[in-house]
Amino acid sequence: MDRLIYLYGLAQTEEAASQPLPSLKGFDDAGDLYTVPIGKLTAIVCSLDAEEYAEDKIKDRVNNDMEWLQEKAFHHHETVMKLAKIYTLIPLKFCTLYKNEDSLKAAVGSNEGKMLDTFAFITGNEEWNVKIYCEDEQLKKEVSANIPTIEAKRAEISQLPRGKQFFEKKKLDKVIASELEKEKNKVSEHIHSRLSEFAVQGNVKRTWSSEVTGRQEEMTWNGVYLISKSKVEDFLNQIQQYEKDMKEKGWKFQASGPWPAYHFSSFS
Amino acid sequence: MSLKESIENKDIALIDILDVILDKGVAIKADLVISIAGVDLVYLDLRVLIASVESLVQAQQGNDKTISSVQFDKQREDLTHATGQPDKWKN
Repeated sequence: MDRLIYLYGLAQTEEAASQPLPSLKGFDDAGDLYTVPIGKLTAIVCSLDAEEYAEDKIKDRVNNDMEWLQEKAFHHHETVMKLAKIYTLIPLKFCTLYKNEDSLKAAVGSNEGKMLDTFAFITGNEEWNVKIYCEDEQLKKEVSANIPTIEAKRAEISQLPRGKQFFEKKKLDKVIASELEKEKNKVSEHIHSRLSEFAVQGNVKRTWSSEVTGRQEEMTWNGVYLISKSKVEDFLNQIQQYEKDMKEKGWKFQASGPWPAYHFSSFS
Repeated sequence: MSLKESIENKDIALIDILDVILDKGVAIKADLVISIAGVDLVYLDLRVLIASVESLVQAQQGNDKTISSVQFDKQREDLTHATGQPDKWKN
């Protein structure tokens, strides 16, 4: 029976040898996690039935079986979180599978140099995620009040015949919407660059629509930051300060972490 | 309790987990069989995105228990109630 190898993360062999792996259940909730030393790197893996976890079957479940995805996503997350508490860890993406131990060894071995650099980069640092949300309505009022041309245009429109007013108002709404986007980006970018001052590195991610987040407010910013452990509290205090100062204007901040360094372990 | 501890102990929403574990991570291409990197969160069913559990709290407390089926059932009920589409959850 063929077995696939599910790779959760990589640790440094020296660290892995001094800290034994606790007993953790694998992705199929049957087997246990185990380690595969590959030179200076140690892969933390479990083995899976090749047929049950074939590529097309996994893709099908990810797309169609939400309960499965939820359960397995939490399993991956919790397992990697536990590992990251014990070792400095390069976390792998959900469902990273190898055909067999040899292909795993070949892949890890050929990337050893890059991975050792990554360990040097992430050691002593934590990954934090910051999502910024904004209630558009409130900011929209402010934006239109603050731009003199918009006020002037509004006054102008009110003098027009009624039929014309409708179309002119629509045009004006478009202008306001685009000004609103500009303002949101400007504010978010400013915050991002301030937060990046605390960080070793700050990256911008794509934002999600309110359909996905399930929130009323629009997500205006999604940033990830790699922060030295000693600076995390200052970083979070700064976010709390923004929260206090900008609450009235409809801005909301959501910080989460510390995450395993998913966003700072990429080799591509 | 420090600010960090209070955030660490907060519930983490599934959306935040998926945002991290699906969207970005290490990609070792050579001989890789599968990597579900291309999954676009936008297409994920809303059902999963509303739920949040105390996974971080559990991880914090060193509690090995994963989410129990009772918790899942409870969440499912809440979601069914929230979406008003009870049949969506039946297999």
